[in-house]
Amino acid sequence: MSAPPAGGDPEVRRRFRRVVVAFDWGSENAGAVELVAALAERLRAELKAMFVEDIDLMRLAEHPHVFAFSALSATGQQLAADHLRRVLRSRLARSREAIEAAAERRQLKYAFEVRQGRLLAEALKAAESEDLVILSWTAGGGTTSFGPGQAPPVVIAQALAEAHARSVLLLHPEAPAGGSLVLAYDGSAGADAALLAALEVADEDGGAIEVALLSGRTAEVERWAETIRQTLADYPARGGRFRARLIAFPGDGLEGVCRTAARLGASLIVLGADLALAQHDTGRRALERVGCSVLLVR
Amino acid sequence: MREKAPAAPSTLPAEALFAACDETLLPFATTAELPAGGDIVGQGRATEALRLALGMKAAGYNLFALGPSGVGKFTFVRHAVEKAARRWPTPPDWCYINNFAEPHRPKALELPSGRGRPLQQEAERLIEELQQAIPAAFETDEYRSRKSAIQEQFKERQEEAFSALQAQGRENDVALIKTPMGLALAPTKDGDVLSPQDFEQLSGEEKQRRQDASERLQKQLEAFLREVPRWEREQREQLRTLNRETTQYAVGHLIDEMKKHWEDLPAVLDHLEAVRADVIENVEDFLPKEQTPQILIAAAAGRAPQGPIANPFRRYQVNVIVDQQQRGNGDSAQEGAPVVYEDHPTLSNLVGRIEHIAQFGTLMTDFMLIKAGALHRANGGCLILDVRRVLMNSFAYETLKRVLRSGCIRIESVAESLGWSTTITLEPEPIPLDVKVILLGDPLLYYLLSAYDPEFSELFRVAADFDTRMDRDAAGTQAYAQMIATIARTAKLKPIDRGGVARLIEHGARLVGDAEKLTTHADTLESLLREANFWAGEADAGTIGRAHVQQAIDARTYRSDLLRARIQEEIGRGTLVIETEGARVGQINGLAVIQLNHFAFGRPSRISCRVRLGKGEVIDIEREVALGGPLHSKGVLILSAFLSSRYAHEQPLSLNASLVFEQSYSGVEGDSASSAELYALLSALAEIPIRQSLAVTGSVDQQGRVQAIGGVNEKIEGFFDICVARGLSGEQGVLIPAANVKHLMLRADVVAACREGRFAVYPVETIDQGITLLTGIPAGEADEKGGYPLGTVNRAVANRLARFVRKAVRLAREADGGKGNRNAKSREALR
Repeated sequence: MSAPPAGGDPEVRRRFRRVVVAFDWGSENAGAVELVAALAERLRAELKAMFVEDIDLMRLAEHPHVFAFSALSATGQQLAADHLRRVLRSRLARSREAIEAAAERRQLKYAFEVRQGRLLAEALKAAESEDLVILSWTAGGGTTSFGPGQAPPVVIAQALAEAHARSVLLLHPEAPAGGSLVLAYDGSAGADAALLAALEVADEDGGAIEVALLSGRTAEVERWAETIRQTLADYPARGGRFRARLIAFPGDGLEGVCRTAARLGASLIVLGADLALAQHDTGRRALERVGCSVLLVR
Repeated sequence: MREKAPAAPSTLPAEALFAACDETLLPFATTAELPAGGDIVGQGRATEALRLALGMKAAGYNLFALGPSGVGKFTFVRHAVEKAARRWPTPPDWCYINNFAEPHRPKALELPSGRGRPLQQEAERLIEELQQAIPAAFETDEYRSRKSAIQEQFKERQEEAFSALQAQGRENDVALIKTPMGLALAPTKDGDVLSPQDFEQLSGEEKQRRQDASERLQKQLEAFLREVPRWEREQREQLRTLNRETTQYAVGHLIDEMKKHWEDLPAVLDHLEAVRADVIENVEDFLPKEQTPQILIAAAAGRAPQGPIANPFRRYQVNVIVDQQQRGNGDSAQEGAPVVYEDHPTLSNLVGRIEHIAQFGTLMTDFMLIKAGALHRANGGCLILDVRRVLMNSFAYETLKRVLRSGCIRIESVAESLGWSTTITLEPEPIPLDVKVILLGDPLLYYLLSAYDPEFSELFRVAADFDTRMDRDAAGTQAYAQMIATIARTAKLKPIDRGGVARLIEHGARLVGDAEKLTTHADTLESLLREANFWAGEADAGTIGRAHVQQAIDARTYRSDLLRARIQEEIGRGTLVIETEGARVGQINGLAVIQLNHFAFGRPSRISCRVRLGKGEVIDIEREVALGGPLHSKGVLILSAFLSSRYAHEQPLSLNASLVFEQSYSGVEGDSASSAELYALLSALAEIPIRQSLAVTGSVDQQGRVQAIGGVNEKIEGFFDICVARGLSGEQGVLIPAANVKHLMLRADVVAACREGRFAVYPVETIDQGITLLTGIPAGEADEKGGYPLGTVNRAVANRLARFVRKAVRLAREADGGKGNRNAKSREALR
């Protein structure tokens, strides 16, 4: 396991120095903006907002006539020239306003940037190792389509492996507010990093963490439990303020963790990126269907 | 007509002036020895009426208890009704429950006494259990798996169809892209969307291939999108079926278990079945949900917001509006039937009301906010109401009658009654009514309602007429003592010793103004007892004695007699002229009574009379200036008749007399001064002076018989006090009608003065007796020719009247002689 950050100056101990949130037209919404701003404030991190104009959409918008199908009426219609571009521009303006308002209200240090490309790639490209990258579950409303067997957490975990960024928070639009945090722990270095990341983002006031120990071996579970207790106790500034409940999941894997998170009304699952990648179909499907946000840590 | 002139009456002995209580009739040292309880005495008629009303089961046999305030109607009625109601069967409990088919029409549920509250508690428990059992059932892995399978099936179906379209597009270099405007098709090359410029650089064949593929995909996409709603509906239906099955499993045994306790009550079983069906239909209410979005969505959709009323579980609760085991609001004891006294009989307090709760600026209500009225609480028993208060509260009387007529309680607001309410509100199912209503009120209201409201007599067929007095015989005295003991015990006062009870009985007779009767005005007795108790406490006495009662009477008199003292003072100072010595022609001391609230006192008045030649008129000056009431005028007119019949039956009555109450500045009513006025008239005619040391009261008939009057004690005491202030001479006294002797209950100081010969009370039967006493000259007995002997009052009166006649005849003849001015003068004299 990786050691907790050195004690002393709280600034040194901070894992996340910058929150990088990336939107595109399909993922921008006021609730997500507020949530991200609140998280940046709590983490005392700088906020970097990035609106990614999907390259495919931009190209499509250049076509003089676009034929679109409404899911509401199940009919197609020819859009007027430039109509799509105007809609995309208005979405960009709205995102910028929302970010600026939220940041100023919370007196956050922030920056707003517009890029063209693909959302995930651009977000990871812009992130450093001490950044927390935040994406919406619905990110990539353009051509980034996640088909069956391609759960977003898994796709992102794959992308993470090749990026500078070490943590990606995937916001679920239906995640319950104020729910608990569930950490999937398998004793790996990634799991230890996930534990520290979980402590960082956990609500100071709530402070409830459910730690799912993914092992069927008693000795191993006990050893992990001791490690976790020690980490909690050593965690600077917040030591002892967290209420951690350790739950053993013998042989049930990530699927069981997702089920437990749903039952508890959890708002966030934290896990190592490698653990997500290691899942077979059942685990991947469970992650894909989970009803809360997911924090992937490398 | 030959009349025999009786001798002047002698003074009444002291024993006749006050009927002391015979303490041998009170065989106890203090009232503590008397047994507790005991019926209220002296109300035989009321008792019989009440017995009939309570015994009759037919409709309309409600009761009106009429009598003056303070006579003890309420205590009597309540005591008697509670006694009877204890033997009546305990009526059922009543509840309101939700009507799942028509929520705005809550159902009334009748339950055997004492089972309303258990049903309510079981319903609460059921809700709690459902709130746990249902979410638990929906948390099970089995449910989740089945739900997940349904959702997965739907998603997979969608994704497969969508993926197939995407794959087909990819094969033909066409991408399916999500845009803000919906799904769009775009030409691609190597997976990237082509810009218009790049597309133009494609060969014609490549372009055509992509365009053909786009057109095919468009059609397939339309077909796919049309299918999606149907799949969603199928999914919803499958989920609903799953939820129903799950709920049925979770709810079934809970409701079945509860039904076992209510197998004897089909209405409850029906309700529980309705609850089961509703829970299954609305199971989502029991499942956890996110509050904030729900409220926002509800508000946006114009639906009822969240709040106490919006609590979805309220509809399974039970609103017990009548619980016979926990009667409240001062209702009667729990055994037998209820007896309810509603002291504020507003419309809503009678028939109940539907309350509302303000939520987000909207007034909301439901069946749980139905509140019982007094009629609900009294159903199966008795409801006691003060009729004046019923009449004073708008719509209460009409509603009470409507309810009694219809035989059921329908809760309506004023607005509904008047048809002013246009908003949707509750229409609770009416509850059958079986109640005995007892109205308490004064006789005036009873007779007014009887006269002017035809329905009143049909609905209140029995009248309990409360007597204000009772006989003061041996039995009455003992019953009265028992009543005094009961009052003292109920009011938690000190015991009263024999002397105290005797004094109270004597005072009871004085209050009713009759030595042979006792007042039944329990309220007055009770307040006097409380005050006597106070004085006994001040004196550190363990019991209330005669002295304490007397002290209370005296203190009460002192507090009330400021006006009397002022009048006495002004008489003493000569401002108001009342002579108590010497003799005057045509002037006499009459006696009036002034009543101030519960305090009455006598006030002497100087009555004077002047006579002259005239046309037979006795002028009542009080009437002429509209200060005399009709009874007083009647008394004066009787004087003319008396004079005519006695002195002028064969000749015209040629006099003109004027009578006046001197220094009277307010109205005079009653005929009790008519004998005094007649004495003054006779004195003026006979020119014989009247002794001013005497005062007179009594009415008179056309034959000259003196008749009884009211307030005799106060009148005697009023004159006595003037005489005492000036010094009793032994000559002073009061002439009273002999018929009033039985009413005498005079103050102890008056009795003592009479006993010592310093004051006198004369019982008078005829005017001749009275005039003899007043003038010291015999009245004179008429002989066979109707003539009176010389030296009598009657002879003098007859002579004077004869002179008037002769003078009148002479003047008339002179007038008929037709001599100018003399005729005119004569006619003038005759006017």
